[in-house]
Amino acid sequence: MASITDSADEQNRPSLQGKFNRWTWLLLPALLFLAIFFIYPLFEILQRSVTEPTLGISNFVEFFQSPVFSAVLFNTLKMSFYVMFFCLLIGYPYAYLMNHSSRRVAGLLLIAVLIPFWSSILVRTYAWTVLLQRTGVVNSMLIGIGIIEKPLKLLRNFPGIVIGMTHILLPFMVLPIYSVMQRIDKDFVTAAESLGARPFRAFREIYLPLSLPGVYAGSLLVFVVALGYYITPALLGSPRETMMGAMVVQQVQQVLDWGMGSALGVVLLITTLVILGVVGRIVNINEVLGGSGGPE
Amino acid sequence: MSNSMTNNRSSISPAPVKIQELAKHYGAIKANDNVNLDIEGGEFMTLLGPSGSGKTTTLKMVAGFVEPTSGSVMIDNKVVTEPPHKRDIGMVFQNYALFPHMTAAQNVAFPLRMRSVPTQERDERVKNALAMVDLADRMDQLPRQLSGGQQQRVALARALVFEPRVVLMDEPLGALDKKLRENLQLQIRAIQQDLDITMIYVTHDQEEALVMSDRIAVFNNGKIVQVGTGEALYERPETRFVADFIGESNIFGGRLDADGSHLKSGDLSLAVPATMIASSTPAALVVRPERMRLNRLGTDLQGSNSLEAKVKDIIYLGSERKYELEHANGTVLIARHQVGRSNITPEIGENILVSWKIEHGVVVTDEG
Ligand SMILES: Nc1ncnc2c1ncn2[C@@H]1O[C@H](COP(=O)(O)OP(=O)(O)OP(=O)(O)O)[C@@H](O)[C@H]1O
Ligand SMILES: [Mg+2]
Repeated sequence: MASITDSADEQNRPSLQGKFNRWTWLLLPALLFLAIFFIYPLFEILQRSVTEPTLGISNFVEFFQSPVFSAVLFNTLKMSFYVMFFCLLIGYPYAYLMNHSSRRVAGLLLIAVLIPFWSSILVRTYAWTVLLQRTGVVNSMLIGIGIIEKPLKLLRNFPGIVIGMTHILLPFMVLPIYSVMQRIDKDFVTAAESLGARPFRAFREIYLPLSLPGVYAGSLLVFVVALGYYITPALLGSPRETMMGAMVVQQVQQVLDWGMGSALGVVLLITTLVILGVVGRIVNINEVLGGSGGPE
Repeated sequence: MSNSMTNNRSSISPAPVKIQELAKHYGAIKANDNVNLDIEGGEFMTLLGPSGSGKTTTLKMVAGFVEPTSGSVMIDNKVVTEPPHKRDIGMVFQNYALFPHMTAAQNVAFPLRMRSVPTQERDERVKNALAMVDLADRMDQLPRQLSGGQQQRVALARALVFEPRVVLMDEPLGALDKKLRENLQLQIRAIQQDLDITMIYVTHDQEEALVMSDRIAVFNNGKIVQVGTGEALYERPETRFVADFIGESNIFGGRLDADGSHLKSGDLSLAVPATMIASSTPAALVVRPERMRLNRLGTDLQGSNSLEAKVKDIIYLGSERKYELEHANGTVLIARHQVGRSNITPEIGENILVSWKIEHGVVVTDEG
């Protein structure tokens, strides 16, 4: 993929290596924090998944043999994929619009997409339950304009989860795409048109390929974040749409099976890593996540 | 440099461009105001002017990227109203605008693909175009793997390969260092003549304009103030702005006296050649530095204006010497002479008589 990051960025970055020894101790608190609150619990979970209730991989064997657990994993992947798809469907044109409107409008659009970031997940999710219920705004509106006759069931099912999750994760799609689009020189499209490309052709051949790093980054973020989401699927779905996150909670809080709960967490983690690994083979992750591209 | 492209287009005669009363207003800002310009087919026309004078705006209206507030553009004697992609105009941008995800060859092939040129012919023409700019061996490199000058030449090849009716260039050499710029100026000029293309070229570098152009249109505040060959603009500027912008000048601002034979500038009264400029309007006398002669005090000078002045500074410029002179009333004058060609060689601090023949002065209007 073409790197459109400025190579000057690379030169401006101070070299860490030279100063490593002298400043290492400054990193200590951060490292300690990571060790205590991140690496230790992770270790704990890995350990419990293979030691409780008995030493061995029995939890994982059970996971893959049980139709329930596999279905949950499949459901979670499916949900994440749908959420990613709809986020992209809405997010790409949204970012494009932001990048092609006046500063004022772009600012308003940015605020609109960031509002979910600024309000509590619980509040937002409950707001969706109000909007999506049988007598809610969405159904009344759809009936009002005559698209449907009877209210749709949008709550406590798969579509409900996807709608709520798409809304909540949209910023993760819009922001990376927008930031990549901002770095695309407007003259590229102008040049393409002067060379004989119709506006849509110029978009397809020039603008779209150059914005792909943002698309990859956004999709990856949304997909990975969606995999581990707990509250929204729990509130907008029903037991039939139990996701991995909710399953972990169930195992730990209701069944009190820490071993199985930990194993579920490990499976989720490995799934995420595998996806990152696969995508990383196709595109340069560093570049996708906003760093500068690797050397040629 | 190869002539291979010349053969393809020998039958096509280059298109004239006529810009008529073109205006572009952004609210109160008049980016362009009543621009008129007649460009012959095959002519190299340079739009020259300071930053913000409206050069790019004119170019964009010709290309179709900016809708004129009023006025029209005619190419090949037809008014153009088509969208940009149908205008068949080659364009080179200041930052080249090479597509970063395409190789040099793919960039050059782009306009041909848009025109559905068959693959075989396309490859042939891409090769020829890149050979023309001496980049045949860089076909498969991405823009970021090329130097600034090489990118520039790829952009040039891309703008020429589809044999456009007109080529527009907006400060295409602005980002390059002096040496490379001079090299490319000659190369672009040679290709333009070789292919017999109508060229509209934007720059704010007057030297570049003088080197490359058949004619130059000088812009100021959204208007064209004068059009002419480099020589005409230099020797016969019509306004103070042009005299000031092109080359170095000694300029005396003031008013002509009633019979138009003298210009009153402060406490000076300088003889001027016959002029059409009305005596009531503000005017200025322009004398180029190389027209200034230096004489010993007391020299009798017939048919010349002369002023006593003190030598403030002497600057050696290799083959030339530049004298900074100051008249008693504070007016600073500049004289330039080829080394060994001046009649006297004064020292700094010396008082001398600076003079110029009356016919070497040019009277210009002092507005716009
Ligand atoms: N889209 C726009 N909106 C408002 N004002 C504009 C716009 N485009 C250009 N202008 C104004 O019009 C004037 C002419 O601009 P233009 O870009 O044509 O100048 P230029 O001669 O090309 O200058 P430069 O040498 O700096 O490129 C400037 O004052 C500029 O600020
Ligand atoms: Mg400009």
